[in-house]
Amino acid sequence: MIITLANIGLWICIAVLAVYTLRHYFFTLNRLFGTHRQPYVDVVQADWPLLTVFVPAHNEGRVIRDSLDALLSVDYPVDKLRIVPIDDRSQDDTRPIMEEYAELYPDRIFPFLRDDGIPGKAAALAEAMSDVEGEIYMVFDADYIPGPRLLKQLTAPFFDAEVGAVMGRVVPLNVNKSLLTRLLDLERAGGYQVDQQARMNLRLIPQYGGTVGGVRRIALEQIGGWRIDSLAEDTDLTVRLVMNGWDVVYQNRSECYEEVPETWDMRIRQIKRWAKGHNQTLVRYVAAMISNRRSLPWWQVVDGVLLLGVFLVPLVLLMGWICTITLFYAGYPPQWGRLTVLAISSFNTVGNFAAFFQVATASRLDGSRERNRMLPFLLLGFLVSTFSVARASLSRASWLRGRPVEWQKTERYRTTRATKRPGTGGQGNVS
Amino acid sequence: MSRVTGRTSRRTDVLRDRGFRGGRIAPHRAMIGLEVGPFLLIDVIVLPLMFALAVFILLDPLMEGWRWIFDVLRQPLGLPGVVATRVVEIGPASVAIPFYTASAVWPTALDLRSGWIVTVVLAAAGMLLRGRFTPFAYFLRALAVIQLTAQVWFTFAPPPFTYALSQYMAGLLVCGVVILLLAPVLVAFTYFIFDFPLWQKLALVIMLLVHLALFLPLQAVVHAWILYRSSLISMPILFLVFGVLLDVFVYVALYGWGMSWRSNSVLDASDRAAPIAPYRAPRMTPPTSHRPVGITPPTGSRAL
Repeated sequence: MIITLANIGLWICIAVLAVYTLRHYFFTLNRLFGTHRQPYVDVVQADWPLLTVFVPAHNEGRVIRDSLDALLSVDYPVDKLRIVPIDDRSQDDTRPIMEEYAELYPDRIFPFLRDDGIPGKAAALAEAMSDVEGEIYMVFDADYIPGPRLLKQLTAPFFDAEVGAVMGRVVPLNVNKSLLTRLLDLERAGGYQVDQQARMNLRLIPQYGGTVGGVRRIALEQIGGWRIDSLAEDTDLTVRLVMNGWDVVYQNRSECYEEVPETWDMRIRQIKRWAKGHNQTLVRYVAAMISNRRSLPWWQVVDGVLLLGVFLVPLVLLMGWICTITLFYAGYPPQWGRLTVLAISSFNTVGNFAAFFQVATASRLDGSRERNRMLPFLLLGFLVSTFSVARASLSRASWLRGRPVEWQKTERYRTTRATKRPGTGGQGNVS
Repeated sequence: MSRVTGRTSRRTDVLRDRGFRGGRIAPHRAMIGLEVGPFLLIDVIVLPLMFALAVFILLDPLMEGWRWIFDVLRQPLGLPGVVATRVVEIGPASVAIPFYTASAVWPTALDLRSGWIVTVVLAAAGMLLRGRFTPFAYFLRALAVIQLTAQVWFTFAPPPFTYALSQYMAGLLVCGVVILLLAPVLVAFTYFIFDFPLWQKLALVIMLLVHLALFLPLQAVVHAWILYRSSLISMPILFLVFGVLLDVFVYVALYGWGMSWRSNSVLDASDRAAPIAPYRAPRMTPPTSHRPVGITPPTGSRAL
């Protein structure tokens, strides 16, 4: 009985993982050989809409100056751009810095200072957005350093009236700090250069990541604004926009630089938070998405379900391992034994390799071919992520609704000003 | 062969790519891609079939080679018995897989006690390691859990174990043969599709196949020796962690190396040599001197 159950369980796990494996291969091949959709990315002259850029911050004194300086020097009509740094109860010098910039640039920087209300990025954004004007709202985390052309590139897709949100590419700035930052650089490259762009090409659901991107004000109002009780307000927003008929656009050309976690503890906390938030969104919307076939084509429904279920894959993988161990001790059923062993060895070879293929392709496309020598070390990152995400997925917080949130910050490592803007992907110079 | 997406003519390419002072403007990495051409189809269909067929044809001499390796290493490693063969059906082929007739014993009380010590040490090290050793700590914890299952099984389950050493070796090598047969196909769809020159494609697949052909029997010999010395208690960890999974990571490492090679073609976007002859300033002879003025080197965009 146990053997039969383990065998069935293993085959189910292999089937689920095979779907994600095929998805990896398909996306990678599409990114390599498909036609790239990058709507209006080259528009430089236009009647630009009123744009409000939000920079939510909580104890970001180390990095906020770089972000504000970069935003002040972007190529966007000054009379159409408002920069709104949001300070949410910072205890460091974030607020004095914002006030200093507001004094220096009174007609461009309009700080929004919070001392009460529900803490958290989504709550801060919801409150700040209710207080300002603008046709397009853009959000940058405080450690992000946008390039001069970024705002126009991210705003241009909104000339299409069906576009509700736009997302740009996030490139790590502190790549050469540690093994972890190098691995995260590879993972980010795979995620954006291949995964997001392929989804864009295939008219699936590119994900709005909550930063380096913008949302149309009327779209946001139509879907009811930010959900302040969500652990992953960006995924939540993406799903609601798509389910309400809005398009989400990914602009691979629009790169912005961020700091990735430099310590494993911080990385584990980050990925656990993502997993919980993602799973929360899965619980909220998966049924509605499947039943919402009138407004969504079937391929978007399939991609949406796979996207929402992505943080359950480590759980499936662990289940597969438990089934494999059980079958190993108990002996494979005679009628299925050889086929099961063949499936395991084939899946180990072809299935496990899919993610490496995607990452290697992304590095190759990025012109960072030598980084592919790091490929075997990705196993370390996958190992930590698998166990961390599985633990997070098993926690109650993953499946609760309406849980109040708080600031979930990623530690900043920058000790000096980023005086030189990075020129090439992932090789930014911080002096 | 693959080319940059959207290229229609050499002349258009030249104008499109011409930069300041004759340098070359590389396409942005967000825009770059490959095109499907007739050579690509040859690369992904003919080459892998050729290599898979070659592996198929060479399976018998390969098994002979593995048998020879087993024979040579048996005595120095102190393994009793002889090297025998078992005919296994892999697809349409009958393969004579070699294996040692030596047997691994059911763990004794001493083996079990040693196993518990190893488990505790692995778990403790996994819990104590912090900071930059965190991924290694996770790996040790995973090993500890797998070893724990072995400890529990061999403490409570009655003998005999599901697998004998000979059966285990044969199984491991069968998986190895499957990987050898799959490798050319996998390389075709994950490496041959790129714009590498033919010699690099051939070099990678040959290197991979030769490496695996040597690695697999040596891996089996090491497993056999450990199992013979330490009893069956080591079998779960060897099978689950240091078996097929290790073979796949050998593949990943070699693939990563191959993907880091310079192709001097479209995807070496930021560091490939300029395919367009750079603009050269006309030679000028100053009226006061016969010495020619040095030509200014092109400063074409090499970075994106």
